[in-house]
Amino acid sequence: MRSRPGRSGTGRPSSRAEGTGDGPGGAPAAGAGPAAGQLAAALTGLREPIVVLLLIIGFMSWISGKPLDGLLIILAGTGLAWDAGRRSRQTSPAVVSPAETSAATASPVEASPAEARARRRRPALLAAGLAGGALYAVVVGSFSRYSWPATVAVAGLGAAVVAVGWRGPRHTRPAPPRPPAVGLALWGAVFVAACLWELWSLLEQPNLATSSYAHPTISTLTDPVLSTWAGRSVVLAAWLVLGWFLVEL
Amino acid sequence: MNSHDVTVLGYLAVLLAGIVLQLLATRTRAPIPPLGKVFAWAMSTRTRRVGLLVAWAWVGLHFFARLSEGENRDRAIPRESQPAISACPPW
Repeated sequence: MRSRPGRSGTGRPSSRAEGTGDGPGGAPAAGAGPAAGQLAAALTGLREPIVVLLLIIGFMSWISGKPLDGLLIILAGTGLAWDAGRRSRQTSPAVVSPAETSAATASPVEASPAEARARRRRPALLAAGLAGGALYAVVVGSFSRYSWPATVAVAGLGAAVVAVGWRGPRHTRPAPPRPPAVGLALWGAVFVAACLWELWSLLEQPNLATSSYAHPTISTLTDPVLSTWAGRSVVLAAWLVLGWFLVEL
Repeated sequence: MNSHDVTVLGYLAVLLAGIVLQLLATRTRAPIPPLGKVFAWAMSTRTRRVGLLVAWAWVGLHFFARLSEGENRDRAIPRESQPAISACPPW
């Protein structure tokens, strides 16, 4: 499905720029075969830092004794790279640019009746969501870690949320401006420092699949908390809140 | 102070750096966006949005789900790894 200006790839209206990032897309290679085109699309998508991040997470999961986890993340990262590359090659930067989209949607627009109804129902939906989330955290927290019920509950919710995110943003609002580069760099430095410290701890373990008291990873440090029902429920609730926050952005 | 403490302090230092950045972003005029605005910007394209949600889902899977054989986190740290503390340099 080709992307159209002002619409997401799924046909849902979107106020956000649905490109792959801030850079212009690459042009398709003239005369290249379909396989070469797919590969070129995936390689183009590798310009997205989040794609590289997913591939690194997948690789680290793989070598630390969780091959299926790693494979899933690598597949997700590869699919995202291919999708990002395909979209960047199909979308002309002159047609859809974040600045234009932002300017076009920044003007005040009267709420439609459907939006007004949704706004009225928002408190009830919020209460239902909170109750459902609390119930989920308590029930799933009662399951042992790595049990099949916990796996089904977490994997099912994760897949559903990713599917929601794939369809497009839940709310139409102006695309946020790009934050200052200095600020982004500082936040990026904090994130990279956390990853490097975790990686160093992981590499200092006796082996990648065996925990070390001397050099604990975050997983090792959270083991005591996650060994209790209450601890699991609290962490699951925090995980749910973070997911809700991301979906609502 | 042993290696365990140093490692934990490293994590706390990173956490503290994040808190300081957030305070600078919200309490001063420094050109630092609050973390919420960084996420809002990151979620404004489909690639970044789906990528972040996949990363979020992976966190849940990593801590709770059994996707691979040999999941062995739900147990105490083996005793044999603890004597390694004394073998580490005391920095």
